[in-house]
Amino acid sequence: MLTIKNLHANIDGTEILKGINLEIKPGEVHAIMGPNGSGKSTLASVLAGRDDYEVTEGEVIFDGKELLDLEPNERAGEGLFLAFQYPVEIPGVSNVNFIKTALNSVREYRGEEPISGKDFLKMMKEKQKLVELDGRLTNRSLNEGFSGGEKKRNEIFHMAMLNPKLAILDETDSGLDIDALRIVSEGVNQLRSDKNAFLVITHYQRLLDHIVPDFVHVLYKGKIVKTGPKELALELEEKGYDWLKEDAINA
Amino acid sequence: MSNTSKKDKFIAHFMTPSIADLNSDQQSIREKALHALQRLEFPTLRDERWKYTRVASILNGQYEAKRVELNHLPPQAKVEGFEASTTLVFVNGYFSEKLSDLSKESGVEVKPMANARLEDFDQFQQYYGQYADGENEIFTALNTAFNMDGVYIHISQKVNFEQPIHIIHITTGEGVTYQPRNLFIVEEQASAEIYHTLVGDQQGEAFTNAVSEVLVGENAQLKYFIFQNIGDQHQHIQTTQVYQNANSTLTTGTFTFGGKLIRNDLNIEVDGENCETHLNGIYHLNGKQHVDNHTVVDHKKPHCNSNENYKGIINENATGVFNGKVFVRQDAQKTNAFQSNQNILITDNASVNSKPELEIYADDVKCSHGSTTGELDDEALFYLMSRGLSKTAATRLMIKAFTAEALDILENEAFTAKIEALVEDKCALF
Repeated sequence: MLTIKNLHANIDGTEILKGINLEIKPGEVHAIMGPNGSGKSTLASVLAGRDDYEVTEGEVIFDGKELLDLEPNERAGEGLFLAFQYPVEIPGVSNVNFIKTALNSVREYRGEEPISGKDFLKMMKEKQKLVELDGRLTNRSLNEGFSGGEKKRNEIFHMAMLNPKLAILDETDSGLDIDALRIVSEGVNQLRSDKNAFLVITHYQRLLDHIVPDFVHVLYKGKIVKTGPKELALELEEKGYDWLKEDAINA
Repeated sequence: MSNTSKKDKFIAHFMTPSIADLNSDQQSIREKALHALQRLEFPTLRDERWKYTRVASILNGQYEAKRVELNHLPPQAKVEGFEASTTLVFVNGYFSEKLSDLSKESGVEVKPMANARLEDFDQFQQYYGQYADGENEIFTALNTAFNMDGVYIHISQKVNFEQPIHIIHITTGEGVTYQPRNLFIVEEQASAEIYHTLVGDQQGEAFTNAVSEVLVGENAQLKYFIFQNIGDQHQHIQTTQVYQNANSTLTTGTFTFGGKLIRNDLNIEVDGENCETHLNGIYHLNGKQHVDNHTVVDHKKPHCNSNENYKGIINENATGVFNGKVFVRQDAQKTNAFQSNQNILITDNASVNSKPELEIYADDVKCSHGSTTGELDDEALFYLMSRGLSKTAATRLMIKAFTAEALDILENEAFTAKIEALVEDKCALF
């Protein structure tokens, strides 16, 4: 589904990603861990198309298409979703109107008819339940005045509505209390299928108790220095990253 | 040529046609204004109140009054789904009987000023020229000396005239000038809702200079919304002088889209206790447009609330000016005054001069003001696009959200839709 080959990216002339290789197949959950500044969020941003970054080398193929040639909205149309680390507050744009506009934009991109009002409401009710999102929040302005946990639940709600092939969760767990973490994770788990895939970027192993990954990758200084099964996350939690740093230097 | 002789030459444009049938009192108001015109100078950038708005090019124009008959309302004057009880249409300042539709409600007088001067003599006499300063402000003096026609609205005591009144000014042709003069009187415990549309040919130089005097009586309510979408070569000066009595509510909005140069002076004297004053505005500019909103809210009595919210979107080489003054006089204890001006600059060449001012002489008040100017938030744009919206759709949504707060006061759906559509049309130029 997603193939990243030798991806290099700069921000303001500084190289952050220094040759990432990654292959994600349908049905898989990949976790990316790593110390601060290793390039985790940069990878998420480059994949979603944030234009602060300059890709200097490499390619990303998403379902047979050159992902890096597409605008962010076209990537969404192809079925890519990024749950933001810091969801943006947009006063004056109602959450529900926005998600309807977004859903119809994606449908239009795929050459589908706009969703009927009735189907939309039904779908919304269903997906709201998934993340225990209060109806009050769907009617409010987009993320405005939402707590940290509400913002993250809203991200998962958007994801559920758009039903992407590949969802990237960028530190969705940061700052969440255990209840919110459980709600968000359960939301994600219910959306898992053999047709979609997840790339979970996190700082903490805790999340991976709830969303159990098939692969754990360690990103260090812009490169994936180690890949292993879910147990690798536990090992990292215990030993920290220093032993990997030494490995990386020795390699 | 010196500025003074330029001024005299300019003033000569308005000498004809003159107003017939003025009685001696009205004649005296006019003569005072004529006299003031000799003394008053045309403003330059050295005048603090005109620091950012250059009106010199108005002096150099060639204008004349041009009577034109139209058989149909131009499309830009129409508001889909809007139902007015009364529609007064003026073409180049002349009342068009054919396009107008006057109501015949009892207790309500809505008619051209020219008729009111004669038919509603006593009322007219009592209020006309009492609020606008025809002796110290050159544009008001010019209007007071040479105005021809305009709208007279008089709502009698306790009459709730809930049906909207629609005033339409259409400007058409080349080198046109006219000076509308309006007088709106909403008496004690009465209410009214007025929509004022200014439209014109896309091309064609024009200069217009409007003055409105507005009285909101005790416990009365007035909603007055101005919608400016005049042509690209049209320069328009507008002075609105409002006087609010105790327990009254004024809700007013100024929404500006088209026009070469527009200067709006909105002065509100709040001279009674327990008044509510809401004044909002949106200006969405492109090309070389220049729009200047000067507002004054003068709180003279205690226990009043005022709320001001102006939003600007400035594209290409356009310039905006916002100068909002709030006075809280010594007697005006317990005043709540809030003022905000926010601007989004779309291009590097767009600019705005924003100056909110508070002058407080009372010691127990709650006042705040603020001004922000920035660009569209890139992170928000990316967020919206990452959910599937095209850049255009995302930009439109953000602009719509930005203006929504200022548009809130407009409860009429048809007008709201019209303004939203104009906001969107202008976004297409980004």
